[in-house]
Amino acid sequence: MMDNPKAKAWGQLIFYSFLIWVFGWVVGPYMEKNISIYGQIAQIVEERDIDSGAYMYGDSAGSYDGEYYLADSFKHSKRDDYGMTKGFVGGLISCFLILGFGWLFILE
Amino acid sequence: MEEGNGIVVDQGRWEWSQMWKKEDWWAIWIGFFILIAAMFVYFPHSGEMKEIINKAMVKYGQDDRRTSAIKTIAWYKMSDAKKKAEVRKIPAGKWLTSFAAKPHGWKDNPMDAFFMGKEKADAKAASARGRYLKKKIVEEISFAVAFGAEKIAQTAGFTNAALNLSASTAIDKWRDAKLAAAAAKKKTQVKPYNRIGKLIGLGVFFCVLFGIPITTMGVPFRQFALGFVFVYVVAVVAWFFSYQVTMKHYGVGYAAWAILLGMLISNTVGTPKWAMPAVQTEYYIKTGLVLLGAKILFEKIITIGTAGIFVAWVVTPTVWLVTYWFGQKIINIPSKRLNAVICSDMSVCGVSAAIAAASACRAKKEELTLAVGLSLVFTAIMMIVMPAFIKGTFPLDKQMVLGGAWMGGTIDASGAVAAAGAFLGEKALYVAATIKMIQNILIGVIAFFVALYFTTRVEVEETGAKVGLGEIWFRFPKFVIGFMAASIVFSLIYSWFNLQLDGLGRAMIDKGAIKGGSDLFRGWFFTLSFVSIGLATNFRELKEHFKGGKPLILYLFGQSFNLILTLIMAYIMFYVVFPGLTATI
Repeated sequence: MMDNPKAKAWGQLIFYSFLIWVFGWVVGPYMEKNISIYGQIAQIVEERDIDSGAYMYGDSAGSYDGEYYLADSFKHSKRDDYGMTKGFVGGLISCFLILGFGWLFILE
Repeated sequence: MEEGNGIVVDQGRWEWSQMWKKEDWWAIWIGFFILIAAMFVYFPHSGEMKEIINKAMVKYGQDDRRTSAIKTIAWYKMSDAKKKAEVRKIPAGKWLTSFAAKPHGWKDNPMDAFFMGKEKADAKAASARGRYLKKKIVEEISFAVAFGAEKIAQTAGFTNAALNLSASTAIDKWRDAKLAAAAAKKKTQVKPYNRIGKLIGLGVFFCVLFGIPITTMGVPFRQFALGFVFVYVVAVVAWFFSYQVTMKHYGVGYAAWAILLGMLISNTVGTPKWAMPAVQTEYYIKTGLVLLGAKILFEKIITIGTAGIFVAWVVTPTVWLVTYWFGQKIINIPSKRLNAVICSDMSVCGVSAAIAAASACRAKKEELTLAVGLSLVFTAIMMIVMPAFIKGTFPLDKQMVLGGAWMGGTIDASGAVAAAGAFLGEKALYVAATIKMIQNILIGVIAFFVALYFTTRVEVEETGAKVGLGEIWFRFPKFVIGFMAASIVFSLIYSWFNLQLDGLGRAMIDKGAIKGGSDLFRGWFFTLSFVSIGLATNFRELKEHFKGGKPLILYLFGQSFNLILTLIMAYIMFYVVFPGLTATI
């Protein structure tokens, strides 16, 4: 069979697919059962229905909730150090200053 | 076209016909088409959303105004009632959501990903009902406790710090119980479904959406359509695997599966030749990125205040530049593009930043694959290790905010940030997810910066030719302009809605044109591009880029620096400079 490249290729594909199955159905659940921290994270992901594979904010539960909670909390507290303060604008300007500095001295 | 160091660089003159002959422009047109269509569907319904928000304010507003010393039960109830304003819940939005839906989550039976009969759905709902009832009882008890504690604090006029603290603690416990009950309730609402028909319909829609424009780029529609069937089926399989319960627990998402499956095919049995016309990585990725632009809303950077902006917007560019310098000067990574893509995914926000930076600097597909692979591996590790470390070493009073900010600033992917944050608690989840969101907004800035740097400096160095403004415009990746334009336009519309009524922006944009429009398709487009990357990637070429383990060293250095700097900055900002603001969270 090894002399036949086509059969070898299909053999490889089946073997690697088998490895995926081993991880998803044997190793993964075993780790969840036997390593406490894995089990706890898995339980939270399940209970809260978190899409832990999400790559962008808003794709996972909690992102929008968090944003609304924090923004509304700060507004509710009526603090004067929240919002478009000098410090906040300073933070924004710092970002562009750092990029400008990098442009001049690091990315030469 | 000219080749320099193996990187193909365009050289030439701007022609208007590029606007209908180049994928960069088609990415913009397709992206804008989807965004404008979403606006047409949702924007006429702003009146209904205003009504929901106003009703919530009338019902709970007076009670809420009793005090600003603590967040009362009325404040939370008003917040919950306002959140119900989601324009995507109109019938057209519901149809769009179901049309673009991915396969379902599943555990042992793969068919559950596509189909579930009434009997099985009813059985699942019934088994979840018991758990829900238990959580509901806990919620009711904790509400009674919270209500009592708030009444006591109110009798003292909300001026007694100890009573306020006791009320806040009781209300927080009620919120936790309420969220747990709400999640359990969701599991009792299992309905039968059949995704097969809609998945076929969605495939046909995508085929037409991408297939008609591609004819102007010289690919016959028939050939594209035939190949697209293959690419789309692999994309569906990638989603199918990513929603398997164990994969979900470990955060192995669609990008990982799409690349892995594509590479498995291309490096074993080989990508069929007839599928190649639809292996259009750049085309799909850039369209997805234009849609991503609409999600980058500038007003959101203010969400967590000055502390957040320093953690997310000052640390990130610093880490990017220092890591890039380390890659170029210390370990001498041969490819500046690979260096830039790894810096972006590690310092900004993983996969999304990597694809934006890779497209902006025209990195090779192997370079993007490598950077994404590194990010996915370390994300999976950090998602488990960081919350455990924080729980074991941080003082109890600093776990939520400091721990949350640290994880939000350093773990690459948003989903992993949410899972790690939720492990510590509700507030940690909120802080972590919000810091990550503010970092996400930086993608546009970094992508523009990278595009400008590579267009005006790196490509000039590679071709040895001095370039004028016309040449810069010719070479500049145009989709970045589409990305920025979508971001600016949607930021303005979002703020305009919020100016009309606080919360209307989130109802119309976040939970409307984005969640019920662009987001429905963006994930699919990225999956199609990752499948294409995998189908065109050769293991041997990939190995070449990994030579000497330099990309790994770069990632490790950058992430270590990121971890240290983010922790220091978060501590200084949240506990030294703004402790009052932190106490409000």
